[in-house]
Amino acid sequence: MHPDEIAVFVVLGLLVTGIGFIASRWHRADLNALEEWGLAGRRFGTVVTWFLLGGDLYTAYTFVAVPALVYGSGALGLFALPYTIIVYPLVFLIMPKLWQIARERGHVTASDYVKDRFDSPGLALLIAITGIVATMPYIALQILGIAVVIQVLGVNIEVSLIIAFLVLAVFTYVSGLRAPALIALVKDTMIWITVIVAIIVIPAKLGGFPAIFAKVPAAKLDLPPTLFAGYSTLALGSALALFLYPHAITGTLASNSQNTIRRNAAFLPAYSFLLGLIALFGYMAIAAGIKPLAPYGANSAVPQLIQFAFPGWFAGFALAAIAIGALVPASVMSIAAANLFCRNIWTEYIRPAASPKEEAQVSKIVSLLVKLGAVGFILIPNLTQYAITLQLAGGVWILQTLPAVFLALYVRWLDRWAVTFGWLAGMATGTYWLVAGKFASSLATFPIGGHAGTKLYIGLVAFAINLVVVVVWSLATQAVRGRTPAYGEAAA
Amino acid sequence: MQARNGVLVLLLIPFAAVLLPQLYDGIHPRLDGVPFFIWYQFAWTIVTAALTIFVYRVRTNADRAEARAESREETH
Repeated sequence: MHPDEIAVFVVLGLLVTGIGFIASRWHRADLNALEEWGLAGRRFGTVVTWFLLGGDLYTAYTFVAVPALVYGSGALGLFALPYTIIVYPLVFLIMPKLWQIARERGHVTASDYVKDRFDSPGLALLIAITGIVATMPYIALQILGIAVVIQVLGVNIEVSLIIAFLVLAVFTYVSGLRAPALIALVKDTMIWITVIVAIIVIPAKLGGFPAIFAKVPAAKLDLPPTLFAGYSTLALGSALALFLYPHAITGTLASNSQNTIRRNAAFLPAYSFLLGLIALFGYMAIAAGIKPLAPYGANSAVPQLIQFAFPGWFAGFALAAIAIGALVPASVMSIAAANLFCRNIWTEYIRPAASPKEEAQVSKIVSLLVKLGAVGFILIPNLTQYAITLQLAGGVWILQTLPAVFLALYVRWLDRWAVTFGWLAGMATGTYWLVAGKFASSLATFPIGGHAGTKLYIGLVAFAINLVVVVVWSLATQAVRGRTPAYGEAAA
Repeated sequence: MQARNGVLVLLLIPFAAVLLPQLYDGIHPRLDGVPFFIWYQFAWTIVTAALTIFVYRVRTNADRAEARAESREETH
C-alpha cells in the first residue's frame, strides 16, 4: 500500500468523473442520446474527430494489452506496430467513401448502410448483432485494464473488477456521450504527460536502451519463421477490423466532411511511433525484473513497471491516466453498441413507435447489458491470460461484416444471400476455432499454413472463407440471373 | 484528376514494407542497442506519416484547383 499513490489516484478519478457529471448537466437542451450522438449534424471538425478516431487506439489496448504481450511473448506483441502503420492508410482509402454514401442516403450506422445497399433487413440485423457482440470483448479488455491498475494499488482482484465495472456503469449512465467529448481533453493530456515522462525516466533508470535490450532474452527480440504469417495476419486482421466497430463507424460518420476524415488519417500515423514506444514498456518490465500479479499475469506488467519506476505521487497520476484512458473509450463503445441496438433492432423490429424518451431509456439499459456481457467475457478463463486476446476475439467476429460494409462500397455485383452466407461461414468457422483452442490464443495452425507449425490469425482465415463464399456465390448468382442492378438503380 | 488518384498508390507502400516480417526479421544491425527488427518498424511509422501527409496535401491542392477551375467556368 502506498498512501500518496492511492490519494492522487482517487482524487484524479473523482475529479474526472466529476467533470463528466457536470458535462451531463451543462447543455440540458436535448438529452436524447441517439439524436445527439448518432446524428450530431455530422458537424464534428478535425479536433473532435481526432479524439473519436485517435481515441480508438489509445486505450487499455495500448497501455496494458500490447506491452503485456511483449512482456510475455516478446516480438510477437510488436505486431501492433504494423497494425497501426497500415490502419490509417486504410482509413484514408475507405472511410471517405463510406462517409459520402452515408451522407447522401442518411445512414448513421453500418447496419443502416447494409439495409439500404442490399435492400435486406435480415442482413442488416445480422450486421447490427455482430457489432454489438464484437464490442463486448473490446469493452472487457478496458474493464480488465482498469481492474489490474486498481489491483496494483493494493486492492484484491475480485474487488478491483467489481469497482472497475461499477465505475464504468455509473459513469456511462450518468454522463452519457457529452462527457467523453469534454473529458477526452483532460484524459489525453494526462496520457501524453505520462507517456512522455515514462519514456524519458524509465529507460534512464534502467541504464538506457542498450542495457534494456541486453537484459531481454535474444529469442524475444525477433520472430521465429513459424510466426511470420501469424505476425502479418494479426496486423492486417486488426487493421481491417478496427474501423468496422460501431463506435469507430459512428465516430467517422459524425465528422463534418470527407476532408476531416482524410486530415485525421493523414496526421494520426505520426502517433504510431508513440504507440510503439509504449509497446517497448513490455521489454522494460522484463529488464526491470517485474514479477506480474496473479491471476491476470502479464497484464499487470506496465502498471507494476510504473509503480517500480516512479515516486508514489507520479505513479498515482500515471495509473489514473491509464484507468481513465480505459474508462472513456469503454463508455463510448458501450453507448455506440447500445445506440446500434436501439436504432437497428428496437425501433426496427420491436417498437417502431418508440418515443425519443423511451429510446434513450432503452439505450441506457442496453449499454448496461453490454457491459455485463463484457464481464461475461472476462470470466472465460483462458481469454484473459493476455488481455489482447479479448480484442482479437472481437476482431474475429467484426471482420465478418467487412464484405457487407467495406467491400460493398466498391463491388456492385455482391448478392445479398452470398453476403449473408459468407457471414455465416466466417462466424461459424471463426467461433469454432476460438472455442477449439479454448480461447487461449487467437492464432491457430491450419492445413494451408505453409511450413509445419505455421500459425495464422483465426479472424483473417475465417474472413478469407467468408470472402470466398461471397465472391463465388455472387458470381454464380449473376451468371444465373443476369447482371445485378447497380446500387441505386431500379431493379430490372 | 490523374495525379489526384495516382498518388493514392503511395499509400500501398507501407503494406508491402511491414506485412512481410521475413524482410526485416533479425537483430542486426542494431541501432544504439535497439534490434533491427524493432527500429525498422519504428522507421516505417515515420515514413508512413510522411507519406499520408504528402498524399493528403496533393489531394487537397488538387481539390482546390478543381474548385477554382469550376468557379471560373461559372463566371464566364
